[in-house]
Amino acid sequence: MIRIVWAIIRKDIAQMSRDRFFAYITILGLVVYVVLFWALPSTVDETLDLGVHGVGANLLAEQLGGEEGLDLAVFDTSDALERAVTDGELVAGVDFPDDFLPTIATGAQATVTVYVPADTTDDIRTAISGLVRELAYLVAGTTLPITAPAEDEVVLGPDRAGDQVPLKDKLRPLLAIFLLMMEMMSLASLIAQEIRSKTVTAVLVTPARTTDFLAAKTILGTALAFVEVAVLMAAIRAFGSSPTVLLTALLLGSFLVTGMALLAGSTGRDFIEILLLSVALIVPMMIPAGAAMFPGSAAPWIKVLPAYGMTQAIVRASAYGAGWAEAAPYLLTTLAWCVGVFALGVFMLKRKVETL
Amino acid sequence: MSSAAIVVDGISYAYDGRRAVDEVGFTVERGETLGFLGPNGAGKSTTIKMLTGRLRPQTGTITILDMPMPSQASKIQARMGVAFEEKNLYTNMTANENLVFFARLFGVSDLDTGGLLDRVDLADRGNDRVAEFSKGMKQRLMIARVLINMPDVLLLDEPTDGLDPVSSQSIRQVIQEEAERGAAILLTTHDMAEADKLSNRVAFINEGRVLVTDTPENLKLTYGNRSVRIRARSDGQIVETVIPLDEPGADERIRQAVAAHELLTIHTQEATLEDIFIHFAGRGLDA
Amino acid sequence: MRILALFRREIQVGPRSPMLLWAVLVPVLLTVLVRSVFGSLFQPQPRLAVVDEGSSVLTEQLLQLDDIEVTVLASADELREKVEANDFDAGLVLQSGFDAAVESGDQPELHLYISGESLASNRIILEITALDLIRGLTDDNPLVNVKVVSLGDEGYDLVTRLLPMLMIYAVVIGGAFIPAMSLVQEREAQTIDAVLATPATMDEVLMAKGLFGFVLAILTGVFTLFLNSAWGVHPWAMLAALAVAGVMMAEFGLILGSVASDSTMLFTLLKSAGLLIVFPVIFPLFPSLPQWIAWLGPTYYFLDPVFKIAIEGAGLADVWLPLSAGALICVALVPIVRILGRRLAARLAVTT
Repeated sequence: MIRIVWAIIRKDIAQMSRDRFFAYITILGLVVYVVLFWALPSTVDETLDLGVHGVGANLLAEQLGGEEGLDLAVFDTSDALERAVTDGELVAGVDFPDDFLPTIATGAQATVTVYVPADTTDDIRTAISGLVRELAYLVAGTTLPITAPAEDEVVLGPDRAGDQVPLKDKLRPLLAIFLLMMEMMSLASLIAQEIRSKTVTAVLVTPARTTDFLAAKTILGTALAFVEVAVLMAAIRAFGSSPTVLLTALLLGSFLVTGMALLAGSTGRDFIEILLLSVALIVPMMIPAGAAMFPGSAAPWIKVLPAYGMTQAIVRASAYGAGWAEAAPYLLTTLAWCVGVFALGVFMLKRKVETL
Repeated sequence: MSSAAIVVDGISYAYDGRRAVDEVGFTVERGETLGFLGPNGAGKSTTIKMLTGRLRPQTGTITILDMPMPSQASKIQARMGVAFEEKNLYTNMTANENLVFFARLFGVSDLDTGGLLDRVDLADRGNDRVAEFSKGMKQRLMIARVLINMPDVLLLDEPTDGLDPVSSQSIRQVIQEEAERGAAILLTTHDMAEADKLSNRVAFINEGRVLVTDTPENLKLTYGNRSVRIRARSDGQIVETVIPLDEPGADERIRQAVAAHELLTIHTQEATLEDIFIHFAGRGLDA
Repeated sequence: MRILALFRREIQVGPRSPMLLWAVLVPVLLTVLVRSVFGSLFQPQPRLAVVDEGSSVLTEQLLQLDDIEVTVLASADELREKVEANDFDAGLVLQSGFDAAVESGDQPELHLYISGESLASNRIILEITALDLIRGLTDDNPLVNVKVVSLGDEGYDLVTRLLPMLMIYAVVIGGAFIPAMSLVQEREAQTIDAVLATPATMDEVLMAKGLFGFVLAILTGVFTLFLNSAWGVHPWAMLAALAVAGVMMAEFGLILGSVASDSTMLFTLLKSAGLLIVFPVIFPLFPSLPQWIAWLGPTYYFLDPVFKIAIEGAGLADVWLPLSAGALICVALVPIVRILGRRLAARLAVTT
């Protein structure tokens, strides 16, 4: 059996390598994904760049100078402040009038101008306005209307201020899925071609059995997908503190898409049908990876999708350094999906081949 | 141990209630070529599928090389060569690569691809991709493929269908050589002339049933009409006379026709296998 | 007449291809994706959860805020759990009697929770906003009148700037991919040999397929624009732009279909050529990039006019220059299409 399976694998490799274009597009994809990854910023901009001018400037700087999330710049003139806002250097510019302090001291209402870029969202406009008002209260000696909670009771979960996980780190599962799905299409196309041309029939009247045929496709599909996606992950520095967790997730993902390839290859009658089937399979695979880029938990329906477990394991291992204990439930979920999808793929392909 | 390499006894197969093969039985001896003749849809391909183990007969038994099929399929397939009607070759691989791959499946490690391709007149095309081959070349490569494991049994499904005379002749030669080597050959075709040339015996199949099995010669003698066609010149005119040999007084009539006129040509005519098929089946092969 | 016959066949057979369904579905799916997802990914709003245990007026005020996503939850435990999971950037529990306590100057404790994974900027925005509203309970006359002055061009939001991307997918699938696929499938089934054995020429075959692609590109383009409420106020200008788009994409499709030997190769070529076709859509998304680079892409010369007509209300007089350039590109592609078509015919004659 090993001899026959190895013979079929060698033949499939020869066939796949003849398809220069699939090879080219795989390499191109790898290069593009790596370039895209490294072109994205490595840090998260979580700072509001605020400019100030006028007598209140120093006061504001004094009160808020060290505040996390706020970057204060003092400008000598109103014109300079306006220019900085127009040029997009600042989120907002606060221009205090010369008589700001005396006016506040007398209890009268001072007018402070806040310059914002025209496309500034309302939340920032509201917040900056509120900040200015609070400063006035501070100057006037008005106490806070509430008692601020204790610092250590406010932040829930690990505090990542100043150390946010950049979007590109959360992009890794999506890139992995894209690459895996390309491999799925390649294998599905090869299988469909063998069925269409009935070369599989010629193979099955030799000592090769259907199980040999399926085993060869499974081994080759999984191995190729795994190697490619592992290379990609290495190129985008995904192997941090939990390489074995990540490798396991990638192996399971490779196995999963191989099962999908068996399914698509046996069901699709021609390249177009395989393409459409592949797109139909890609979308549910991409959704959890896309959801991983958004803050917060995924919606319940996303958690039952096949790629959810794998995606979570990749993100947690590569971006958050999660170990086996944390990743295990996700890996087990993925394993369950692998078994199910693979079983279905094998069943469909076996049935197709045996009825040719 | 039976001298027959292939023994088929009462096999049947039905697709969705429709009997494609209905209690078919025949034998093929070692070194014999049995022509399996019938129109499209007669049950030839279904029979081949059962012989290759792809379908399990719903009734009856198949024994190939003294081993039951499909329970001993692996062992039988190791000694069998099958050429399908479809040109199921790997078109993006070269001829040599196609042969080497199948050799590996058979466990043949010392395959002489050059020698094999030479037998089918493809010696100089070994490194060319199959996609560039003509229909005849693909079929010859298919024949080369079935010879990889020097099979004791050959199943050939329409091996010369649609081919040019040169390719057909090349393939017929190989088939004859294999029969001389001692292989048992089952050849399906709807080309009567081909069957006549190649087969030691023929079996007619129609609507899933074998109608008759015998040598072509016996079939023609038993069921065919023989005649003599005489062309002679008489009074400046060419006269043609056809005298059926099976009628009484035929000899005398021939003598008279030859003596009476200036003889130009004399030919014997015998029934074709197609005529005999029509006699049995009530229809032609292409009807 | 023969072209008409060939075109009729395309219309009869084309709708049976699942690709046509894809050509219709993709613009819909992309539109939904863009509208529901893209805005919130790249311009995320701060997210605040509120538990109101005492019917505070603040809850209503918070819900009326623009550009802050406010959700009212049932319990403080649920709020803490979701804030810790970063489902919200912050959570505010307004205990019973909070409003009254603030109004009477009792300085009640503020039960504000911040997610450890929330951005520092969002924390500030939410803290200040909440505090500002709380202040409002006690003071109707703030010490400062804040005058907000907007500077510069408002520009377009991300969803609007994604319109060229939606358009390119619509016209590429309908205008380019379907005729290309039709040509390749005919080659694979060898039906094109049967057609070329009649008086029909390869030029006529290509013209019929190109015409089908052209019509599809216009239909899917119109459909996408209406789906995104972006038809504009100058319909004839828009149709002219779509016509240029349709012709150009049909020509691309025929070029790809003539070059590709099978479906797999076509798909691969499309993915490669797709970079050339699609890259101009990146520039409206990132206005800070040098926009002149987009001029190097042939599709710029209908994408830009479509955008201007749809969003800026431009008319034909405003976009005639890029449209003319696009038309010239279409004219320049014609001989390429014909040459490749003839080469295809020659290849077919040799291999069959």
